[in-house]
Amino acid sequence: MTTATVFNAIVGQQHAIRLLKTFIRNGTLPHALLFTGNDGVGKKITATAFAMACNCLTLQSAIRRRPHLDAIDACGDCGPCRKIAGNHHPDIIHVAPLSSVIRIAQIRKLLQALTLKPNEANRRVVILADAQTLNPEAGNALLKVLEEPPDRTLLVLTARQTSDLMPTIVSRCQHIRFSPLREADIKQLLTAAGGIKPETVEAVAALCGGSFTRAQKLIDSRWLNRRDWIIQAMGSQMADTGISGIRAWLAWSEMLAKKKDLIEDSLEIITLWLRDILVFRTDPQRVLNQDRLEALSAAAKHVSQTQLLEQIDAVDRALTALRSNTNARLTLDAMALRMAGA
Amino acid sequence: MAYLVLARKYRPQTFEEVVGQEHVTRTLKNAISGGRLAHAILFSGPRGTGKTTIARILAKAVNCESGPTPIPCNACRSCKDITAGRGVDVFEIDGASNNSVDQIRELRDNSRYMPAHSRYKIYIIDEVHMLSIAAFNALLKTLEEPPAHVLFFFATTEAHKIPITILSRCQRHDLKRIDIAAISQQMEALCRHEAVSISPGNLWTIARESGGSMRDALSLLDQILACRDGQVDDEYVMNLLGGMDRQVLFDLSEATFSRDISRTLAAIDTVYKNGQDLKRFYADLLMHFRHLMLIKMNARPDVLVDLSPNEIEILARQVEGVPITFIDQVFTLLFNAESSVRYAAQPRLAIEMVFFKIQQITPALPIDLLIERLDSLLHDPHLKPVSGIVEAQSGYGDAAIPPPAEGHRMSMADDPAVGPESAGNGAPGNPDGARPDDHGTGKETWLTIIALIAKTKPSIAAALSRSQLISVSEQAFTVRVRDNDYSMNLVKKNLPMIDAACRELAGRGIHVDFSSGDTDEKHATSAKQKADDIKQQLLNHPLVADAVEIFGGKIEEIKIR
Repeated sequence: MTTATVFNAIVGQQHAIRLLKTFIRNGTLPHALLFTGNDGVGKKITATAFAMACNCLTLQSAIRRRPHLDAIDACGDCGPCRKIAGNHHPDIIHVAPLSSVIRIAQIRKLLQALTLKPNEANRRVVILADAQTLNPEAGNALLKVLEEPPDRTLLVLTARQTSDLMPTIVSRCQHIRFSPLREADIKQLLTAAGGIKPETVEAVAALCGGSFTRAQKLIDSRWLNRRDWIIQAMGSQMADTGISGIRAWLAWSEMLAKKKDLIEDSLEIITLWLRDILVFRTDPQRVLNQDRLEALSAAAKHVSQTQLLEQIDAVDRALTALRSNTNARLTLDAMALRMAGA
Repeated sequence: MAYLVLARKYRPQTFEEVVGQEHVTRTLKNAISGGRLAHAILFSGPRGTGKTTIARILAKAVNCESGPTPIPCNACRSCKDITAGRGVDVFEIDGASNNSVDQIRELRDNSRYMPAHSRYKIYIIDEVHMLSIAAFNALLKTLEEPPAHVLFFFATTEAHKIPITILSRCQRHDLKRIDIAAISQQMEALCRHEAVSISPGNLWTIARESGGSMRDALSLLDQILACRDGQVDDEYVMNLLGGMDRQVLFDLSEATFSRDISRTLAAIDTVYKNGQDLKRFYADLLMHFRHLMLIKMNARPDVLVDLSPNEIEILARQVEGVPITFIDQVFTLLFNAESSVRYAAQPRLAIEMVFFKIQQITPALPIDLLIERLDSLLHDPHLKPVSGIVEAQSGYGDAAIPPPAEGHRMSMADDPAVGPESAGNGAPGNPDGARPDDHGTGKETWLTIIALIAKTKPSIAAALSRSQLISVSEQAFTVRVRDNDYSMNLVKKNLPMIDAACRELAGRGIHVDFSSGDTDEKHATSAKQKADDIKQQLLNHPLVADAVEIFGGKIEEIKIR
């Protein structure tokens, strides 16, 4: 987990943070909050900052004077702030999925802990990360406490989208949306991380879809190399419609199948690329692979729109098939053949 | 006391305050005043409609110190305790976290003891659908015949998960979704209470967003009130509720109808950048196109209740000039792609792809128009593109008149000498049976000859009876033997004998035609060939192919009459 930051140090998400600050200033803190947004847009970090702001001693004494909204922030220096930042505050309870599921045992433990009064905190905060992974039993077990939690207790749930959660959970929470980070924000974050070439920063910021976690993954040079290889291979294959073209497609699918754990990434790269070719014809500004415009314009010449849609369909089907544990090599071969139009 | 959200602060405390569930509250009130309250009651219904609330009010009503009363006093000790959630005789149990059989056993054991100071010991089990099967079964006996001082109230959102043995022991009350008007009215009352003003339009938006759940509506209202810095203006509400998304929907449908893919992409991008739940957005999109279709079909206004008049007007303007078949095509495509969007790793891409596909649609013509055109084509032979069908059809008709057997009879009719036995290849065992005898003496004589020959040489007679009498002249019978080689040879060998017999009986010779024995078959095959050709022609006809494609059918059979 990233080290805890105060509100004002969080990049992006002004809307959500403004809302939280208003809650604190007006003293109208709801008992359950639901943060939704893509992975890596800053939900957890905001939740921690929120927990700090709720408990910061400096802020508590300042709040009576009703300071300006910008001034509402944890000091990061008092006892509670340090403890929360150091992740050893006894009243900030983190619940996260164990091996991709949150089980009822975890929730029972949480309920047990909540029956006691908070140790020292002004407000006890439960941060339940990835609430979409709650299994049905665990989710139902949470309902009662989510509706009427004990005194001085606040629950923060994070999830990707509300549609992944039980409607009974969503209806008990105040819902705060987190938008994908803007390209400028990602660039700022990446530049701050340091040691990255500016052109890589540009390319990744456009490709990552507003998720910093994803941007960090893409920054890895292997990912970029893989993309370049796929783009280049597909470019030459698409131009060649003869039998040698089909041979090239099959060789390509074999290469793809070799790195088992990277297949999904590769398919995603392919889909993005095909989508970009499609979009490039009508709207070059909306292309995601902004750094490869020439390659796009070259590729766009060879294929028709119907063909592209079919190819995207093929990749999509392969992805679904792979998720249900089919043989990777055969699936990719079939995909390549369909893409080649054979 | 810490800040309470509106949904908790204004939780109804009497039956009268419960909104939109009169059918339940009135029944319960009457049951209480009539002293006919069931010992086990199940409340089911969607989230935020008042299940737990009604259960609590009911508990207060029966335990209130002023007797079981439809109107709890909310002042006595029992009422206050229940409101505060610390009543010693009212156990509100979370069925989801206490779902094991052990916990139910404990409950059953404790239920035997008398209540501490109230009339009844009441068990409210919330989220009861999460009890395990064993737990449900352990409860059955107690639930059927509980001690006189025990009442069970269950609340659940998923009544279908409850075993029927439990259901049959409970009195069940189904709560409805609360309608938009009732929700916005209630919110208006709360706003007056809280001394804030929000325009009715905004309240309506909130109510619609809530999907019939009071708690959802109040959560949204709470969020709006919590963040008010002075005035609550429309834009702020819209922004907070994602009301902007509705604008995007309108944009999107307009771009779709004008086939402007780049505007479509822009709209999707806006939604994505807003951090909206794309799957939810897609569901809204489906709903939006449904509305467009309904408006195009001039649906009654009551199926469009969740649209404001203003929106209906905008939608009506959009569908103007767009053929309904196109809207239908778009809607169908969107609907079919729903599952692929729902399970997509990147919903945004999936949605974009759907719109690319939509862009490719060639607008279909309405069926009635197609039929009309077909009709006009059929009726107007001068129309050039139609000539194809008309020819095919008339050819079809021509071919239909002479199918092999009938064609025969017609050509035979020209020649009165030809017997009908030729048509069906005769009836070998019955050469001179009850055949219609209308072709003159030649025919009759020939039959007599055969009958005579049959007396001496039955085999030859059989061969002859299977032959065909072509013509009868003064000099000779002309006969065509069109059977197998055996009968041909038989006739050939015995020709002199037959000739003699003929001469003797009819004074005519016989002329047998061996060579042209199969012209008839040729005629038959050529007719078949012709029919096949017609079939092939029909199959290949562009009009037929179009019909098959439009209706998505397949050709089962071609009948030629």
